[in-house]
Amino acid sequence: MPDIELLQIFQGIATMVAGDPVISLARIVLILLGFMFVYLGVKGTLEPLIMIPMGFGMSSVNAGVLYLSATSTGTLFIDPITSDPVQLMDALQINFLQPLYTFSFSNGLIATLIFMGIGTLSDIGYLLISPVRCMIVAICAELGTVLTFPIAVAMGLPFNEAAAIAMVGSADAPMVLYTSLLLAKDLFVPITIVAYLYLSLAYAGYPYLVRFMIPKKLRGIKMDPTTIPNISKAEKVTFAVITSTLLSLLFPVAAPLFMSFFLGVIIRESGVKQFVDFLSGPVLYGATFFLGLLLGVLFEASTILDPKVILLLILGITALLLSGIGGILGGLLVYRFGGRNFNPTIGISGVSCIPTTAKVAQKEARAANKHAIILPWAMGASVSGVISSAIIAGIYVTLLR
Amino acid sequence: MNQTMKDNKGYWIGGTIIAFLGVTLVRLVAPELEGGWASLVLILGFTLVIAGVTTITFGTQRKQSEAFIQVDRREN
Repeated sequence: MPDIELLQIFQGIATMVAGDPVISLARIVLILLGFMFVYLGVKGTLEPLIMIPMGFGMSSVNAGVLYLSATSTGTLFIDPITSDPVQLMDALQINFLQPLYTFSFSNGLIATLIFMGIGTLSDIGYLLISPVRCMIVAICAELGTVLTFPIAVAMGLPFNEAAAIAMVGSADAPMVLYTSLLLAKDLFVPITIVAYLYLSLAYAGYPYLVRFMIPKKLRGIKMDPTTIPNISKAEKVTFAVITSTLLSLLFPVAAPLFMSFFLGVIIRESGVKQFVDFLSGPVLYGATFFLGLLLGVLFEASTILDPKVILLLILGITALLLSGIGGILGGLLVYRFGGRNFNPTIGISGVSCIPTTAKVAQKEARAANKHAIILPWAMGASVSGVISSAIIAGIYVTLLR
Repeated sequence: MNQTMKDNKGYWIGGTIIAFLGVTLVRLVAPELEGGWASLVLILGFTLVIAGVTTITFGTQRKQSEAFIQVDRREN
């Protein structure tokens, strides 16, 4: 009977024992971090839709390292570095997630699919209730997206990476993914993971920011729902077509984002139930699931050993905090100069994590005054936020790509 | 096109023309200019786009007598 080495049977452990101790330690940390993400996702503390597949992918990929040849190790999940056509063809036939990564991730397809889904969930009519006030709030809520850029540059990041991490302030993870893929391909995995991680935490953290910055009396301001005009489908579709065309002409590099979002909006308004159900269900949730899984699988040990990750963590939370502050200041500005009949809590929904921040705004207003209904205006500000974030992304990509 | 759009077609058409004029300045005219003129035309172009879109949104506003959403006042 031949000699059998136990470690050759359990190669996941063998590669851990034989490899660089720092990498091995990082792998163990990531396996445990993945477990924690799954646990917090299942518990509902973090966003389960993204954290469960991401955490599980992270644990599995760091456990599943094996010897690919006598001298090299790797996994059978994905090879994100391969660009040589022959090697890529091999990888497509060996790594089970490689086709998804190659054909949907690195070209931004998955982000645009999510945007189509978001479009079908967005009623552009809410934006048209009070367009100027919504846009003022949304522009102020880009404070983090704009201010984090010089901060990141001052901290030593090159312009393209600084812009990519600054986009976390938009609180729109698919947008962050799209921008970082175009501007900082080497850092898109940690930047997108930072974005999703913090967005999960923002839902818990923003209410405290709202309560800290807005007095209870102002949070409870009632807005008159009878002033909401009944915007027709024709108006919404026409507005969507014109706006999408204008933005695509101005920022062609972000045209796939604009097209996807407004296509979703138009499908929603067209009332073709089959398409609405398809985009808002299988497309949106399927893309979200595979985005989470792929991000987790891409989060290998070497990623967290990059010293820039600490910097990204600091800049990511700075961007989101500044955007939250900016949005609330925008709400207070509109309240102060807009006739004092505007609930400034709506400001937080200018941070375009649609519909999460709008729900936060409504929840806080209702906690201050149980008769306060501000959700339609908050949704309007959120939709404006999506558009203003896409414009900022377009500006960054146009200038820095 | 519904009746409200017909009534407000001035805003829709005017806003669209202003916005596309802005795009023309940003995409076609500004790149042909140099220095201060290029920046000036660029800023003017973006301002016209914003002004155009804002004008279009005026076309969606209603008079008090026109359709608004119905709310059950008893809930308030």
